[in-house]
Amino acid sequence: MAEPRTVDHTGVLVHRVGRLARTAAWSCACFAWLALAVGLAGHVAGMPTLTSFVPDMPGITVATAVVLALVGVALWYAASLARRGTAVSIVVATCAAALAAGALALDGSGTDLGLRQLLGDSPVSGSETMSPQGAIAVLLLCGALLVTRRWPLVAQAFAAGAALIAAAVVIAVAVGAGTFLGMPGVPQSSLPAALALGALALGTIALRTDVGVGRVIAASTRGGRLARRGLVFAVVMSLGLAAVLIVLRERFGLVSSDAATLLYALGSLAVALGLVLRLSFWIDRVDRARAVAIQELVASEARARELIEHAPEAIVVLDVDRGHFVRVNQEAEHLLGLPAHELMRRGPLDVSAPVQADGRPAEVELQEQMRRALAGEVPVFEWVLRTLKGRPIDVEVRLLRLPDRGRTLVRGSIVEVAERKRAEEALRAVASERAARAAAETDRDRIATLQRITARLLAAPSVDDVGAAFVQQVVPDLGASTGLIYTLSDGRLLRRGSTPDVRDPDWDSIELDAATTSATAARSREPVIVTSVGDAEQTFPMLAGAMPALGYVAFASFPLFSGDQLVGVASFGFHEAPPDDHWHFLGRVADRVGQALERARLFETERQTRRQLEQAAERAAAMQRVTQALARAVTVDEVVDLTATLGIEALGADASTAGLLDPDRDEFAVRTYGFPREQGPWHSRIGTDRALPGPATVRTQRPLWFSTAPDMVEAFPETHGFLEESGFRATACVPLVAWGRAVGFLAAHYAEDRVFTEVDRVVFTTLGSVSAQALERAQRFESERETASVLQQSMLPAQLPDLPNVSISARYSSAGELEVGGDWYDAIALDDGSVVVTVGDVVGRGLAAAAAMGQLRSAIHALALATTQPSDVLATLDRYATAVDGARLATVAIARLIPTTESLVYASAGHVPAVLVLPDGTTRLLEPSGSLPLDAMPDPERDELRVDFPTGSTLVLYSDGLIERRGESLDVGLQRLVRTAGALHRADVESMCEHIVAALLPRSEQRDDVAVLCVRLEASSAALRRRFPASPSELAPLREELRAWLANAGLSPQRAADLVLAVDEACANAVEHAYDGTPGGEVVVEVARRPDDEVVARVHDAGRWRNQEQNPTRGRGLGIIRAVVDECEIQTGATGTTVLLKQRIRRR
Amino acid sequence: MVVSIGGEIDLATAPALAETLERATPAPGGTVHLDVAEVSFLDSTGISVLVEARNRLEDHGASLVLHRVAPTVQRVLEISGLGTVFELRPDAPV
Repeated sequence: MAEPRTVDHTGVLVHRVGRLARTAAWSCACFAWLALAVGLAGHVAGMPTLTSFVPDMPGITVATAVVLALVGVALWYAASLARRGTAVSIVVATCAAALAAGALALDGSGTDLGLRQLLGDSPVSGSETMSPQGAIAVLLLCGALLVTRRWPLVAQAFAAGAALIAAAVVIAVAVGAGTFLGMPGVPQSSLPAALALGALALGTIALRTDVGVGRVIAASTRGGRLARRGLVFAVVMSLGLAAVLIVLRERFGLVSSDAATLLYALGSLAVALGLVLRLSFWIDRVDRARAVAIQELVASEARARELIEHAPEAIVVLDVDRGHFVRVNQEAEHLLGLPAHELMRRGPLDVSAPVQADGRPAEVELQEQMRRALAGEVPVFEWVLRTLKGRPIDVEVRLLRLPDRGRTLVRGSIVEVAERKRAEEALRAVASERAARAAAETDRDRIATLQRITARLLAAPSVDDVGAAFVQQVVPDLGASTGLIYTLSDGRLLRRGSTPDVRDPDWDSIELDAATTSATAARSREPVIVTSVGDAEQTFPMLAGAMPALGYVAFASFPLFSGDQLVGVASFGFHEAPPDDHWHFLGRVADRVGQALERARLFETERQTRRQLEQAAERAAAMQRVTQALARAVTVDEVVDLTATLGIEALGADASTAGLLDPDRDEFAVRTYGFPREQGPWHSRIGTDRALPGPATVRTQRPLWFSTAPDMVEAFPETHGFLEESGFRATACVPLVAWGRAVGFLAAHYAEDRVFTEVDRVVFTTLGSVSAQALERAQRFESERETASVLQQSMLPAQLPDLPNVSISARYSSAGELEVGGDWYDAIALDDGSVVVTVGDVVGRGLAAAAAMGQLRSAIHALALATTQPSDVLATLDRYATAVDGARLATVAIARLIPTTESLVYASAGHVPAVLVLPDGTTRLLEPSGSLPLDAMPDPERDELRVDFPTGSTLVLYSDGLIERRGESLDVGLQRLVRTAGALHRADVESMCEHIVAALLPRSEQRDDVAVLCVRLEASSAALRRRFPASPSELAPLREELRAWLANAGLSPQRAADLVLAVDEACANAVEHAYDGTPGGEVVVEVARRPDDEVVARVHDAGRWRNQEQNPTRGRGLGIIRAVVDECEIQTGATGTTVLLKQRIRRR
Repeated sequence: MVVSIGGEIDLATAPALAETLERATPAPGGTVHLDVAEVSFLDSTGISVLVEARNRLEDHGASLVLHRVAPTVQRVLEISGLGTVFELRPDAPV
């Protein structure tokens, strides 16, 4: 609903002035710019006709034109300020309008824009001033525009004047009169300006009449647009027209000067019309705003009438001048018993008793009262009305003069006296009701207070918070100056909060039997209220003494309950006596405080329980970590260290001491953890009989708990120094008991006093037993490891075979102190001069593994002696392994090196590939296919590899521990081994072995036992070796060589010759029969002198042995051999035939 | 008839000896005189050649006589149990 609006006439004027000023300024600027542009164009183009706009063009200076244009813009801007509607803007706008007019008339440099022609007398003049007529016309028009709203008649008159002057000019031009209205020589060129001025004036006049063009146009919203478009159209048209004219005339001479002038005039008229349209639209908008305002006013008047009409009292409005009522309301009609139109014809005396109650005539009395009312007073007086039927009515009248233009109106409010009395009674009733409401409001306040307090108390999660809420919220909200809150605990009242004025520690705790209000309230379970010193003197002397000193006028203690249970007491001191009903309210607040206390207590309990549970869960997790770590610990040291560090961490202790029983010496070996660095261990060993917590806990097999240092000193005075120096306060000590046997003790030290909770005790005791079991296990493990280590060492070959042309070196490296493994190596020299080497690895570690290893190694040793082929050894071993505990899945590598043929036979049962290093350093991995560990499946195929093993070659056998490294694949390790071994091909096997172990097995990296064995076929200088094709022609050179070699062998010539003969026979046999004519066969002859005074010759072929006993020739050969040497042995097999000949050297 | 051989009789040279001895075929009742003074080595292959030659000559009613057998050769013959099979003469054949 719009408010009734008063029309601000000044505002409207300001608004309008601003708008007019803007329009004027805008027009000036436009004309100035136009003139400037056209004049300059004409000047430049040399078209003097353009001077119909600017006749004195040659005289105009650019500077002046610019100044003129700038002035126009400045005016425009200044005029825009008038929008603001202030007095200043009015002045500015008015000045702007005046300046605009002045600018138009400016003549200093001849830029009169046609006005001069209009207003002056000379068409071409350099220094003429504005003529009086012109100035008058312009000022008239400006005035008309300015006053257009306020004084429409004046505006119309002004505009008419301007129009007249314009018309005069037009007429003068039209009739060619030189002088008209005192205007001599009005030139034709002034016609456009005159027409424009006239149009503007007429437009203004038209606007002031309600049939104006602008009104019609602005009647629709489209009208506004039309007006704007009209303006634009007019401007464009006039400019276009002017341009066309100029071109036509100047270029083609088609248009006469007069026609051009006329057309220009028409253009100017169009501009003027456009301006009028625009202006009229603006003005119309203001009119519409005014219409709205008037409607509002009417509506507000109607509302006022309604108010009067339906007022509860009778109201009449009297037109004093006319002497009758001009308005009456329903109540008045009702009171006086006459309809409104009847009443409106009457005056006050017509409805009054002629003689009033005080006996005075009504007329006199009324005149007096009226005078007072008209003087501006509000007279109230008793009056007797008289209805048309003559019934008198006692009333009270109140008169008020109403403001009105032109009329003198007085309003009379008439209230029946009987009515008034009723109203007074009603008022009294209202007063009592108000009192009741005030009481209710107090209750409401209290409810709000109670709600506030309750909310605050609800937010208090702990008893301390309840105390704080009590002090900060409850006490001030209740208007108390002092407050204390106590909780009941162990038959005493403990202070949980109080206002700062009662910080006295005497009040921290109150015995229940004390003579205080708090104790009394707690005892009696009833509120204790003291409202005077006298009240207190008898029962509470202390309070009676304090009340005057502390300024209390009242003091009260309320018991706090949770349900029926007393939980505390709240006491309040008041500096101002509270209302009597306040105590009851205090009681209700106390209920809330009691509930809050109980809730907080429950909450705290719950929280504590939860914290304990969380703590227990944390401990459990920590214990689990400890247990897991302990499960991996294998040595006693590790177990003790882990328990003392991780376990103590789980207990939240600051330091710990571990003592390990050494039963042989009746002592504990003591270690400390987490002690300050500068403090060394107090004891490295303590006797089992010492009066110290550690030995004591072991003796009694019971944990000891000391929450404070004095506790511990009291029990064990000897610990005094320890505690002094270390600064530890609490200590817990548990025995380490495994399987009923104490193996040591563990003590946790705390830098602070500590109450050991049930959780602490359980966790600590558990830690002790877990640790003890791990210790026990570790101790057993250590002794087992020792046994296994001995066993293992005893099972490895004490000495490797010493052979003339085969060097063997082996290393066994145990994986630190931790455990014994099941790795082994062995080398077995066979009678045929070949050597069997083996490396194996039993799964697992420890005693069982060592035992299985021993059995397998013995078996291989025996088998190698009986069975020359490695694959056969493995095949038998497979069957044997099924019967050996712990042999399952053991891996074995077996190689038989046959020096005579410079070859090697290799077989593997799932073992890591052997590395063959040839004399030139090239390497090869020996990896037979289908190689499975022992006992992996029944009767597996055991293949073997047969490779050339030329003199200088080395075979490296090893167990997988050599190439295993943490975080690395076996391949990487294997490559490393191959590289290392290849590079060592020139080193002797001893150092080769040494270097391989050193290079591949950094001590820190070793996780497993490692066995390495290197075997090399040496180019022995002491031996004769001949390898030749199986051809008869080879025999003679061989004999020659052999004789030469044997010459220094120590044999007698005869025996040497015999040996040559025997070798020859053996070779001939091989040449003739071994290969059955197959080409490519070879025979190897090897002769060496053994340390035990014997020359041994081996003749080896890789062919088949034929029993030639029946062949007379060969049979003879064999006979010869047997006859000439001390020993002869023929070994046959898949690898060929070896004839071994031995000739002893006999001492002479 | 007299045949003189020398050098070492082994697997390589025995075939040549055998061939030589085969060509020496005297009339029945004749004798082949084999001078082995220059033979420094003889193994079972050579012995076999000699044994074969003797047997063939015997079959033809002829005989083989070994002249100037070196000790080493003689030892081989003896070892082979052939010391008595061949007629050995210390002098040179005439």
